[in-house]
Amino acid sequence: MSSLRTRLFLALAAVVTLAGAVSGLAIYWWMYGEAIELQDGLIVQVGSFLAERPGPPDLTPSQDVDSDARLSVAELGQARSVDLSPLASVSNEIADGLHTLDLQGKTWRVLVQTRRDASRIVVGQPIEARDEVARGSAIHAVASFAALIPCLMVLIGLVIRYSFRPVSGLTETLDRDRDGVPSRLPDKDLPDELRPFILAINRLIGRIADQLDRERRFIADAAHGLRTPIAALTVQAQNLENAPNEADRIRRANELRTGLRRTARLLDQLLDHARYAALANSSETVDISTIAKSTVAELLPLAEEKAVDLGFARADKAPVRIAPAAFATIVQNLVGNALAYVHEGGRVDVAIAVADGRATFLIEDDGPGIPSDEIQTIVEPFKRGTSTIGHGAGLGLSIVDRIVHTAGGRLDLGIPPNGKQCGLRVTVSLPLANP
Amino acid sequence: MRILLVEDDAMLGGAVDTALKDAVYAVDWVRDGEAAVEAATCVDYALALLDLGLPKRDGLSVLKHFRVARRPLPVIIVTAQDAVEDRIVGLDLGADDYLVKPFEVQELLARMRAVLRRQGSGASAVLSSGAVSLDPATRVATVHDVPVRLTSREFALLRTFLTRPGVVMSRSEIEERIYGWNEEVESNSVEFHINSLRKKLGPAVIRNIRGMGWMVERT
Repeated sequence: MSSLRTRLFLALAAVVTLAGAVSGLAIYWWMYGEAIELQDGLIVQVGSFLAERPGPPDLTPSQDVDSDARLSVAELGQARSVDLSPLASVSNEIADGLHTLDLQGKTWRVLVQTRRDASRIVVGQPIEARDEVARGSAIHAVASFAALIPCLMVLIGLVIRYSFRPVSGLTETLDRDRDGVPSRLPDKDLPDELRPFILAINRLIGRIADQLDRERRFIADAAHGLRTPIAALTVQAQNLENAPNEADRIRRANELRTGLRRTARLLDQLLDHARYAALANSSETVDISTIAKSTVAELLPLAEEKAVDLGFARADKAPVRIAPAAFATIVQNLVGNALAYVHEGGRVDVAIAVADGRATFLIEDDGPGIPSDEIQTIVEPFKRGTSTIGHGAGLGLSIVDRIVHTAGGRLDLGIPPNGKQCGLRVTVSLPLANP
Repeated sequence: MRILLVEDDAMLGGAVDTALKDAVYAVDWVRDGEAAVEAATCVDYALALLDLGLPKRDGLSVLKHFRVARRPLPVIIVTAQDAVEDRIVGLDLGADDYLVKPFEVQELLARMRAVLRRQGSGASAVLSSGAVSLDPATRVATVHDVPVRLTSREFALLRTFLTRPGVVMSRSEIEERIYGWNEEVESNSVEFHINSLRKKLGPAVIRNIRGMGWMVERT
């Protein structure tokens, strides 16, 4: 019973049947009463007709009248009777008017009337026969009404089918699979009840299509991103084979090993990219300043190597709902980038501040920065700044962006407000967890 | 034969640099588009290997620049872009060949030889002058059909002469063609290698034109 159509049809059919049964019963009782009244009227008419006629009452039955429905007449207090009907046994004591009497084991409906000559007549009919007639006419009325019910059912079925036609059309549209993304549903001529639902579905389809598009582009870019390191590995392997002497052989084997490490790191990043978006959604609440401190501590040797002044300007306690590994990846990538691009002896400031229900993780460096026309696109996967010689595959910022978005935050890149128009300021803003 | 290698990826650039030097080419390796344009204006390269995704100046723009330069520089595009449209754009802009990463070193070298061959006089893969011939693919020289083993420098020198037979080349022109930027050149090394070639191939193969330089005869 999961079909709305079937459910609707069965419910309506039940209601119609119940309403039909109730009104059928009502009609039956009403028609029955009417028929009884009609027959009483008939007895009264016959009575008054006979009362106007002098002489012994005589009703000769015609052949085509149902013998049970026949009216009998008798004169009270007379030995002679028109026939040997039980009416003759009615006592003379009885008052004028309509009575229901038991006569010789049968129930009768009788009218007693005093004629002008003071003789009294009685007109009657057995109740059984009257009931039969009344029931017959009542049943006829109910039957013709009941015949309407199947017609109604068919009509209800047709109306339901017609009303559901837009839904069947939508199903067909959804099933028409185009490249794995369902096409958007037509939003014209929709019932008002369905419109918000369809519009919501269209928005969902739009989001899925966008997501799918991004994933496809990412996979294509990933394949491209892997080409260069693999080309390097191929050439390095060939070089190793061609090494003219032992010293060269060792040097070239080392180069190949470095190449393998770099390719492995690229693969890790690709996996991070796919994995952390899911991981960032966490039920765990952590203090991101603790994670930031320990991750920055791990990067200190790198900073010392380049004599970069790396340190915290501020580290507020900031409870955020995020997976610790995911936030550590954010810190690693952003601080790692700053350290990679900043000049020798440069400066990298890290800060975590809490304000207005949000935690802000801030990294500022005095390195070359990113030209303003590239800031918009730099977070896209495999995009690298064009003004500097690249180190990586251009995945770091993209990974950070994905994690931050999944955790409900924002990633912003800009120029530090130090008035020097140089360097880069990266802001990650995350919603604070409810205490 | 001096090659301009334009590749921004340090690892791939380094590896190709080594592979080309193994194949006895003189290599200048630059890592961005502007450096490539600058290098090509200073030095007369035999061939350029050009990556497309370059910092500072896009590879296609570098290619356009090469095309309007005085002497056409043969270019092989070496890139990760494998779409047919990319190839068409590259070839239409005047690239002589298009190689998609990753590639085998042997294929790169074979394509380079093919482009250089087309650039030179004939369609024959084997360079020759008189009784001397040289197969750049196998690096085997023959004199009267007798194979002769050459050192790398000797091979580079002989190839330089045989690619432009009948042209007199000065010492600096020869040095420019067989040594890269960061290779140290001793003052008499060209004469030294020419002498050893003469010993192996016969004294008449390389002629000295006094005051001008050296040449091999066009036959």
